[in-house]
Amino acid sequence: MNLVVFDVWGDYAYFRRGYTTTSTISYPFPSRTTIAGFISGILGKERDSYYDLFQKNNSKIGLKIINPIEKTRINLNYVNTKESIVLFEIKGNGKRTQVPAEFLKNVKYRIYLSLDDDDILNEFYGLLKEHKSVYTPYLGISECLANFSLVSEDIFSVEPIKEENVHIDSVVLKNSGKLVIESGKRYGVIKSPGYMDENRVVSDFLEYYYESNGKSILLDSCEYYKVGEDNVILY
Amino acid sequence: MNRSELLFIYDINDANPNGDPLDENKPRIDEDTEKNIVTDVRLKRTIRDYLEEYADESIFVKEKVSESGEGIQDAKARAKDFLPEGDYESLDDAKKIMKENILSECIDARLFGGTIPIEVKIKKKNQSGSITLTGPVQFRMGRSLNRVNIEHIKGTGAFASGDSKSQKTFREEYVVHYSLVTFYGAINENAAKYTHMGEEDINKLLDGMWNGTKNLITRSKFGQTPRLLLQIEYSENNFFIGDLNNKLSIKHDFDSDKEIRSINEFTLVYDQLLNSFEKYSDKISKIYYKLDDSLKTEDNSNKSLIENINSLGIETEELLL
Repeated sequence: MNLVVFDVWGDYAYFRRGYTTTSTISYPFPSRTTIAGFISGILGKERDSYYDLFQKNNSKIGLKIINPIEKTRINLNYVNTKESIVLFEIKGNGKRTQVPAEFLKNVKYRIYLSLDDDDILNEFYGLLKEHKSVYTPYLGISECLANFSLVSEDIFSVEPIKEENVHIDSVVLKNSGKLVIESGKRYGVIKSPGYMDENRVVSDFLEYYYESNGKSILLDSCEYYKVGEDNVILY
Repeated sequence: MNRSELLFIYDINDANPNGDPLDENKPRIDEDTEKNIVTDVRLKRTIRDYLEEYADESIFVKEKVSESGEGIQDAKARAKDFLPEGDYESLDDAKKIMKENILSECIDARLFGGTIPIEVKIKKKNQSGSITLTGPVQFRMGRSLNRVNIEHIKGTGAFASGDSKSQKTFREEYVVHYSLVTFYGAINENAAKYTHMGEEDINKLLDGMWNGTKNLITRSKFGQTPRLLLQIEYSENNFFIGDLNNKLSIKHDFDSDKEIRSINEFTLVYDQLLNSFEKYSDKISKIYYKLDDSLKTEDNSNKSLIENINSLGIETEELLL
């Protein structure tokens, strides 16, 4: 299986929960759907045109937390746009709402991508290699501009390994194996959108364990991939 | 149009570059680094207000009270400008017409995009939806290069707080002594196709950044001075360097950069930026610049930032703003 591995980072990131308009809490790392959108933006895919590329049966994605997850609060001033069609002279009582938004700060992730469609995977790899991006890449919202770089000059070729008591360096799906708790680590669990159908409706959620400082997670037995130095679970 | 990236630096003295609405309108601070934060929307507001007031452009997102008074009424009337009366077959038809009208009229929609909630009568039924446009111009949150001090200033107001009171009210505000704010932005030629942004719009954007920052004469922003604006234009499609704001720092003789109070007390350090320019010089077609004389950019060999860029063999051109 071919795997393209790259790092993404930025000053800020903001991965809002899509199922509500009121929560301003950020996911600690981008959901699978967000990663798919990020990759499609670099490739220059049209809005709503790429969902079938990233389905369960034809793609694999993995993510490793590199910089510890740090959060900061940036308070935003929202405008009530229900007043009229046009955001014009929206002033007065109740037309402005101040919202504390939770941003992530100084983020860096390593992302692993495999697609059944080799042509697109190679095209993506070529863009990364030349540091090109068709649309401006960002982390969650447009003001969180991002940068990226390839981790290795080559595309990795990997095969799944089954093993017991293995330290995994990426985030792990909850059902990958039994988690062995170690001291000195900060574990978190999060559920975020996994797949979308052609109508932009989430068809499946994925639930992960992660270590918020980017340390490894010990599983009693699991199927994983060896990518360079890292043991990675793909989903 | 080619891809380009922007780097913009301005400074402010004893004032508040961007207040936090949930924290007594204090200047925004990153508590860990003690650096000053200015949101991207503050800069966009500066640009919008300038383009509307000085460049006679129509602005979509605006908050000025119009001459006619009744705001809401007026907005509905204005909305009709974007959607002519008529029977529309479907919401999509109405959306399309509205989108094109807004884009052809409003420069900020072309530059920054936006999400526009709409409600239209289709066959006597109200239908609602939204128009979503990703703007070709994106800014990262601005951050100061120096760590800042926040000063709490108290004073007396001119008026009493109510009838039959003999004392005037007190007022208080927060300011930063000195903040050197850096913004990084990107202009994307592919997204420009969707919002019909043209070269002329980019010139107005740069004008708005430089002169809009200078022309803010409200009490909290007075004295803001633009110091450096770089537009790095690339020759190769889709290529960009990225992260330009993190390739700068400052050099000074104080024990702490919190002691800096003016533009004359430090030098801009930009080795990392030059290294990137050098590495990718074959992919840069031109660097447009505007540099304020007061910002010291001389290195050890007494060459300014622009001279250093020229010596890499990169063409530069001063912006006429």
